[in-house]
Amino acid sequence: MERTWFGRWASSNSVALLCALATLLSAIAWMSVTPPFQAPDEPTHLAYVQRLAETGRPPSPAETDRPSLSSAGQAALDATNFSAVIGNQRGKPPWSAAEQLRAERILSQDLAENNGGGAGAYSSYPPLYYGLAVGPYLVADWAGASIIGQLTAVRLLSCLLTALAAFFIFLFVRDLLPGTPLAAPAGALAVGLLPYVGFIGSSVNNDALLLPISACLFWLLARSFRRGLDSQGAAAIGLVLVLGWATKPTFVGLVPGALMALVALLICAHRSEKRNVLTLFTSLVLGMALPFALFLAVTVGIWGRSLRPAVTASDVLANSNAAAPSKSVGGLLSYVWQYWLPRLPFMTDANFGFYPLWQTMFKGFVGRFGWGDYEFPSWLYSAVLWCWIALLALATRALIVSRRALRSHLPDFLSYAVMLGGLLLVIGGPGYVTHLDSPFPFEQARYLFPALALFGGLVGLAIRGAGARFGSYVAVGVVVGTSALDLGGLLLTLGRYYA
Amino acid sequence: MKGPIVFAVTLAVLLAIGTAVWLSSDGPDLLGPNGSPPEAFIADIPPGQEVCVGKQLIPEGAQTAIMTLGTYGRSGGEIAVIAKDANGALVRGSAAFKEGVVVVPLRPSRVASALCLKNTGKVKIAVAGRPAAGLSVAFPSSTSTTWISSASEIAHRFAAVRVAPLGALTMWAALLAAVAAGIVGIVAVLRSVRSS
Repeated sequence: MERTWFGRWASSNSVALLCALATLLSAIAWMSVTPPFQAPDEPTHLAYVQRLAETGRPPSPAETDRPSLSSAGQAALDATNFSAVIGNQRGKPPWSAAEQLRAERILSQDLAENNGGGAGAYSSYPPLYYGLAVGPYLVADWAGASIIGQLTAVRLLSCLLTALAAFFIFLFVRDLLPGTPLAAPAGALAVGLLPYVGFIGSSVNNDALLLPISACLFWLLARSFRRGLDSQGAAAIGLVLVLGWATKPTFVGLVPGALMALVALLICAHRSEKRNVLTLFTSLVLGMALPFALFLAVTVGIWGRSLRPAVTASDVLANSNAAAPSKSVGGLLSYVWQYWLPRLPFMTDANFGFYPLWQTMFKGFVGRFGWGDYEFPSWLYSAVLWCWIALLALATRALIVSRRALRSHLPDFLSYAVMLGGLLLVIGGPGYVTHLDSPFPFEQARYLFPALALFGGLVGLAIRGAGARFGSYVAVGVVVGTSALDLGGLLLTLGRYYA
Repeated sequence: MKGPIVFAVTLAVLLAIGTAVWLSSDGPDLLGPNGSPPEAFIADIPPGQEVCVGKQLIPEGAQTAIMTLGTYGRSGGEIAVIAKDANGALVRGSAAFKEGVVVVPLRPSRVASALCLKNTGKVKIAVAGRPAAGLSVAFPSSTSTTWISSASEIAHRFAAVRVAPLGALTMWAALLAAVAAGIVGIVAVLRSVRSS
């Protein structure tokens, strides 16, 4: 019997689908275990969804008088002991029968759901993720679920998006390292089973959509570098650039590197003379123009939103706090450098007071949960660090062994490096301002999510570096180790909230 | 192909043993807190005076209450814990203490709706808590437990105020999903090993 197109596609991508399934299961576990609203900024993200679903309009930065949360949203926080739980190891969600009764009484009140979603409800964020989330929200609403049920329905959407990200990361690593079949599943699962990815990727947060969109961009570029840019690929890249822009401003950090890659691909196509550069360019522009026009029609035409980014470069450098040190481009670059790398002699000390690469990024990336208020024991981070150092050594070995082939891949790697650098700069902007104006750090490890495909690629490179003999053992070790970390994170979460 | 499978099974067994050992160690010892952490001394109780914590629910089975108390460096601190409902006092307990973490025995163990602290000594007492959330009181379990022996209780607590279609089994289903994720991941890798 002849198989359908989908059957053939599923068969040729069966391992990628398994990786997506594993990620989905992990994300569903996190979705179930994390108590309602105990993921970063979840109440406010849900308020955006609720505003869009209940009124047909997204929050506006001009609506400063409107509360962030609706009456129903505020009551749900009260029912779940929200303010007592965040940042407080001794604060627990309601768990006794008496508390359950109290919560049910609060949640069963007929409170307004359409009076929230003011300027504070992430009104500056583009509406794509929230627009998608309206679907599950309304289905839950239609089924008679309380706001907790609506939150869970939207979380489920995030889980699916995170699984999609693992699928794209698999494809990216497969096209990046076509000669190493084990690299793709190991790279995809090293991301998909990471507890922090499960935790954030299963919460109501636009990072859950930014992750697959960024991974898709990396895959489309890797595919084009490997097989050459074609019209469909160019149009798809154009579409993904618009989707990313419509999801979260952080995505802008990837754009310069992506444009650099496109220029390299167009030059390459021109040199090969097999493809018409004008056709490719037209496909790219059409791929961008059509969704962008739709986006403009809805956001500007119907909702009257401004296209001006929430934070511009001049906003970053403006002095909002007269008492704070003055800001400058040099100061910003120095700040970003010192955030990630040791300070150079000519730089003014950024005075972090801690080592941000370790404290914020590494530990956060391995696992810091809730509202950043609990984490693994210290020894575990050290153990993971040594494992990752070993993987880094193997990846370095792969690069050294393949150094001749690398020369032909210089445009790819340079583009990816610029994409990563752009992302770090975009994260560093508000981080720099916050660092000068207030004692609270801005950066969180989840801001690196757009570059997670590169982490998958690095793991894939390590599998290649391990060679044919040991590669399978390293791949198995990576997956079992990451999965154990995932389970450990879930048990830690149960202990934090319910013991 | 056989080598990676054996390696995967060996790692999984080692991790399962490690997890079992950890789950057999000392587990949760809290019947319930009132939510406030002892971040700072936020209230004074002069001798003979009483301070009440509103909406306090004392969990069933609570035989002691823990709080952080200060006496401004003086000795002779004495405190009484009185839990009440609309009909009057239900639970009483008292203790003489040195400043620091203080454990006050309670009797009889009952669920109440309000909890008051009375200074029965001659020195002023400072009580710790969180300024916005109130005084800090926790109720430890009277028996020592392991994580495994507490699992059923944790599963019941877990099912409260959330979408839990399987009731107390929901927690187990979530953990099973995480284990299944790992197994599916290993299958994906082993399929690639076979094809490479």
